[in-house]
Amino acid sequence: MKRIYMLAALLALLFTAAPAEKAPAPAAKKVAPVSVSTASYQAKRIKDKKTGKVITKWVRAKRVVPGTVVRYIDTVTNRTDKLLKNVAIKNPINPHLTYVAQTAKCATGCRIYYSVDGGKHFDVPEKLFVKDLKTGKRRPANPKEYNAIQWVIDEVPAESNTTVEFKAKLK
Amino acid sequence: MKRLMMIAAAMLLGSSGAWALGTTAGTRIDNNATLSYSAGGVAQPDVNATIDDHGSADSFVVDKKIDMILITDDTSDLAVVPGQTEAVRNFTFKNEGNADQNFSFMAGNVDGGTADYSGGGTDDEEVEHITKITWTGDGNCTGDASGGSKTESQIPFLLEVDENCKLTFVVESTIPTRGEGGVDGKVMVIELNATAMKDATTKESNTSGADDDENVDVVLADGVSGTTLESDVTENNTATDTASDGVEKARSGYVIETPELTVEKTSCVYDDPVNSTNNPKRIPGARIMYVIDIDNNGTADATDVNITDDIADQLLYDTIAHATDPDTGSGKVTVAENVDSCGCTDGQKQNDGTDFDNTGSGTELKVEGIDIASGKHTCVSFTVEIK
Repeated sequence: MKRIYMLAALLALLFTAAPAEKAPAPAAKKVAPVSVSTASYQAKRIKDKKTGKVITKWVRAKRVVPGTVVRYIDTVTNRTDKLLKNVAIKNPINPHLTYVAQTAKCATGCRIYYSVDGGKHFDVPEKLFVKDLKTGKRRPANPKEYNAIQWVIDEVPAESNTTVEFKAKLK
Repeated sequence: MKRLMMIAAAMLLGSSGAWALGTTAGTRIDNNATLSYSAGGVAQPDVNATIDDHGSADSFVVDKKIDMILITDDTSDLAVVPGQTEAVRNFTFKNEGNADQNFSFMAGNVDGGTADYSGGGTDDEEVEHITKITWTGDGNCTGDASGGSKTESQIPFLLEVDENCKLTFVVESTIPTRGEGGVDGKVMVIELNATAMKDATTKESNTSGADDDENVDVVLADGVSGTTLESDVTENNTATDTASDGVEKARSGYVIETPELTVEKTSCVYDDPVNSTNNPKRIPGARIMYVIDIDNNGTADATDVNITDDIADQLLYDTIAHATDPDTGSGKVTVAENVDSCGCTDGQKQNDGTDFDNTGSGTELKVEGIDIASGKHTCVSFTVEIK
């Protein structure tokens, strides 16, 4: 009889203890204090419902064929309470794309540099040179030969975001 | 080592195909961005853009761009004669899309149409048959696209054309005979067209609705001016194509150029036994000059024209075999530019400048080897005596 009571007590302990133990809450997604995201867009001509005029709107790049110009927008977010200075964004250009000259820009003040060696070295256009495949001689790089871009954003204020962008054409 | 070489070869092939006329459909285009910054003067670790399921911060799949060009290589209507067979017209086709594609090829007559080159005539007659279409592919073409031919009953036909493959087409036609309407000046315009096909029976069409960036959609991009990327084929057709309909057309033509001969026979009395040459009459013993005026109203020169004339019984047979030139009495038939006495003037003088022999016999007079240029006429004359 004593053994039966002990078993019942043990079971009771088990069943009462289980609900008391709370399931572990899902780990909160860690939000980076500073982050960058990128998105691609393509131009679409649509009819404005109000004016009836055909306008060009940038929509997410989904129907892309050779010759399509893709607009990439990189968004930099500063979630800290401090002003960030000289924030650098590097964006390689996919080898299937050709950079469209003079389309790299930024929403706020920045300096823009380019690379012709896959991002190992960035510089201003005047200082970028390539070896001409036909002549074998060194010559200034053509914007179509850029294969990476770097933006150095002067300032990203606390708790804010800013964007940089460029356009490239699908080969 | 062998495997390494195979991989290298595959990469080489892959790159040449991919870059020829655009990024191949289905290729995933990734984009990544990296951020560098300092906090409190201390460089922080680089921050990469958020990566998606495909290992990229942003990516999409290249859709299928259906683009092709079809032109005629001809620059003017081909001069043909009635009943001519295997009359050839030439076309060039190129798959300028970014994927291998099925195309249906069809050739036919175009009522009232004109060819794509300038100066072509307006269609006013039909070719009797398009008997054969032959094609030859360049080095980018494989399988059936590398070369072949189809006869009349096999047209239209389906062909899978590799990306960047260029085909030269030869279309052969049979020209209607004179009895079938193939007369001088008639123009026949034919059209070769290529239709992008999903399969043997279904035409390709634009993918409708919202795009799925994970799937390859279809975008018809044919016939849009200025979209050709690196084509070595120059568009030369003017009004025959509609943009982005998956169909390309090219036109070429034939024009019938043939002599159109008419014959008129007249006579005049040259002299008689009573009046001699002074107002001679057609009495027995009179000499009659016959003139056969042959007119070429066609657009082509006539060569080796033969004249056969069966002389009436009432005329002196003996003289027939010796039909004489009244001027020279040489016993020959004259083929000349002028026979004033019978009113045949301004005719074409024959090249050799000599008289033609009468090669006939009995009551038959026969003259062979006369040339009459387009728009010209010539005068054949001989003299006989009334019994």
